[in-house]
Amino acid sequence: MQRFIVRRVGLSVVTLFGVLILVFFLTHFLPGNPALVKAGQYADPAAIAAMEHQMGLDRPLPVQFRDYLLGLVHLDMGTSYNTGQGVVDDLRSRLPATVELALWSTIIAVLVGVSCGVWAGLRPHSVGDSIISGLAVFGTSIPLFWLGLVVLFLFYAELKIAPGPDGRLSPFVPPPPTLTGLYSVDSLLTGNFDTFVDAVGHLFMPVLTLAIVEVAPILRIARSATIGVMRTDYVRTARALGLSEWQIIRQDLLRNVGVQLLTVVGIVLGYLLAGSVLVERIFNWPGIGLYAWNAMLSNDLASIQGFILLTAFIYVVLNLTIDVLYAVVDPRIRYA
Amino acid sequence: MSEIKALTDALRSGQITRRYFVSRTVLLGLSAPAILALIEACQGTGSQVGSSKKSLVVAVDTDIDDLDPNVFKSDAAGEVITETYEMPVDNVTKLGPNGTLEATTDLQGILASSFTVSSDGTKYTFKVRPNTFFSNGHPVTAQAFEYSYQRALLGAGYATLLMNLLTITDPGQLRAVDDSTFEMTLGRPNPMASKLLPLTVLDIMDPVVSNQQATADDKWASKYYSTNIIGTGPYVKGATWQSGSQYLLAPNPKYWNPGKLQNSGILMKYIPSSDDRLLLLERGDIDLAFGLPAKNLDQLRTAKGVKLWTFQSRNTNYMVLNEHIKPFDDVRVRQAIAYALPYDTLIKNVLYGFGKPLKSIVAAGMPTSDESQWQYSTDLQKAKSLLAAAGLPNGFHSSLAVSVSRAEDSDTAVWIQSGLAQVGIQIDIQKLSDANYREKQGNDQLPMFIEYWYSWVNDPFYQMFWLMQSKNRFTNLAHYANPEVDALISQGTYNTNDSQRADSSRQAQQIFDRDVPLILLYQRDFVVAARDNVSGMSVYPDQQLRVWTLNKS
Repeated sequence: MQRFIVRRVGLSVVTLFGVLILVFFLTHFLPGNPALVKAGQYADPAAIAAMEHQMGLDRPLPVQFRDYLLGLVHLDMGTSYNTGQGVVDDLRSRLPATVELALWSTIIAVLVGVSCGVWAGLRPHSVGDSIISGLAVFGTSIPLFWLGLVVLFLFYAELKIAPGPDGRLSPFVPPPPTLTGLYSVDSLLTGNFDTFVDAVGHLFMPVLTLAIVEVAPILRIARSATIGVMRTDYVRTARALGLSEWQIIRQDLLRNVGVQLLTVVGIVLGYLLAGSVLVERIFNWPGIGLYAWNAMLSNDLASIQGFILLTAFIYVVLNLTIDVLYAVVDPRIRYA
Repeated sequence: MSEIKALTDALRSGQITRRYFVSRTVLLGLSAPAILALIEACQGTGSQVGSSKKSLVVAVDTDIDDLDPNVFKSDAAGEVITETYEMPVDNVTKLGPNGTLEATTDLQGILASSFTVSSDGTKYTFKVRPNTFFSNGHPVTAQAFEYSYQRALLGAGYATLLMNLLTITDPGQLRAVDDSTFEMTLGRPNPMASKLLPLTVLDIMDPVVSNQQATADDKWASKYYSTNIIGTGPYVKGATWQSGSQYLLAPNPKYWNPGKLQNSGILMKYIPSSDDRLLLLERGDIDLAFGLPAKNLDQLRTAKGVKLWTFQSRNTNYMVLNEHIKPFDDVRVRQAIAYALPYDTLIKNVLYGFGKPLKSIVAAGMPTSDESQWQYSTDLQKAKSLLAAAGLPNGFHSSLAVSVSRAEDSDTAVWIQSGLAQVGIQIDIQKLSDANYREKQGNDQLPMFIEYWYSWVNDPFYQMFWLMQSKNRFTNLAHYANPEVDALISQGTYNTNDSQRADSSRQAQQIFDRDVPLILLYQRDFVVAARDNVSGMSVYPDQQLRVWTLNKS
């Protein structure tokens, strides 16, 4: 097991370094000079040259790369041109907002997706299965931005049951003391019930949007895995031995379905943590997705690099965790 | 500690009740005497509790990029700086229709209790207002005036250019005579001086803090000021200050003129989506929205509970034809394009009526603006004959670039494309990211592009200096170079004879109309959308709202 983990960690480090090289050079080949945007309309050539010097853009690319690597060692990803603050500080202050969205939508999607998927898989080709499968197809094919707008229109503009798309809390509701950075969790832990209700209210629309999209692949995998497992010899043997259907589901089905689900949940969670850029934009959710959106519009190189590196890091760590969890859930994996 | 500060700020500005304050501070483990002392402290520093002044929520369309008064660029940063710093002098205001505060051309002392101008118009002497303090408690002195103006002159920002327009090029022209007297000596008499001095970029900053924060690489403490505010204005940074999300402007407890504030705080929420700002305003979840596109404003005309405050603006929206790229070097082609554009359609379908055609490079509302010379209205026959005279009877093919961040320009481009197609000019619309757009613009790679300009200073020569003077390569985007115009701008800029100045301005406008280096499109109104219970709007030359005038019934 230890050797397996060491090998996986080593591979992850190599992957991250590859991403780092790719990101640095690709972002520098993006069209457009960010110094021109930062220097502004009044800037003359001397002011632009000074801005390029200040931003380090006048140095040779390999030198910039070396300095970037040295900075990374000290957790310094440079300064954002848009916010005037360190990229690490920016990402640190915005990541909890994205994590909060991703976490709640994944929890809801897993609960709904697994329950419905298993239920449908136990009754293949029934009317209920057809309805659920149809909904899954709908969830897979629906464009995220369209769904977000519909959710916003329905629950905020028409039904008036959700708070507006104005961030994580209503105006003048003070954020809870930071413990995890997740307002819904921190407000509960510090006994701030009013803030908790407000935070959950603000989570409702973006989480619902993400969960609808996220539930579809989980449901489909859960359904097909259930059908597969229920046709296996060991389930037939279990039935022959007189085990109840519930015992079979609990002992054989869920554990076997779990291996396949881990993959898809990992991918989906990684995708969400990478910043659901569109959802954050639609609901003005101040996470890393909205940060990336603004950075890309203005060629804020340091911010774009920081965002992609963080995303890659999250993906790699998630994959690593899933690989290790595979080995825990299914002991055969480590020998593969 | 930070939560206690947030709670005391909220109590002070009337956002929470005393009961809520007590319940929260008890949970935080504060003793009863400590809680009572805090409540007393809040009441002793200009508490708004129990007063009729309320806090307002304002949605902004841009985020704060830099809080340094000499460096900022985004509108949101400009708004915050305008509210938290002050200048020695500002425009005198008068009450206009609906209680709107309107800036006049006269000056009044703000951080200067009085000021005098020498008879030759070159020496300005300011007396520092006694008992004025920065938000950190340091007193405002003449040395602070000297430091701030020298910082504007020598520091990294664009304030240098404005100081040069003031005819200040040497720090020796800025001198603290004693602790309470500051002298500024201009290079020559300057009719624009009284318009430049109230600009927010020339704010007074604390030299003590600046010197403490300065480093060998950062002599003017730019890094510190990019995220910190030590001003003298009516507001200070509140406890809620979350980058990329929301910023609370709380009343400044040390403010020298607290009676001026008409509210108990402003929460600025960064809402980049204009549709969301519209929805939030319609539902009453925000009190005021900045930067709504004309399409959204049109939707609000009949909205219940929302009022539109529309002011004529000097916004100058135009299309640049690059004279370095053929066939735009031919004046007949430029004139043909000016005749081919559907101006009325732009006002109707892009601005939804919130504006008017722009008929002079000196926009209407500026002194000496002369629209009578403008000859270009939509006339396709004239356009075709001009193209034929230029040897292009069948038109030509080109491209029109717009910046993706300005949705209005994309709409404008579509109507321009359709108008030009009628005279045989086929154009492709290129939507570029800001950085790509600026780079291609700077490298002379764009044949046609849409731009806008707003002069903070309401002066014809300020406007023409930036848009038409041949040396200003980065603002004179058409690269227009006409020695006659350059000479007229030079003559007029510092001419103290109003009549001669007006003559120079009219002559320059006339030449512009003949040469059409830029195709003038429209003057978009300055429109503020607010809930109908919000009043106290303000109109200043820099087109920044003074939020201290806002109040809510």
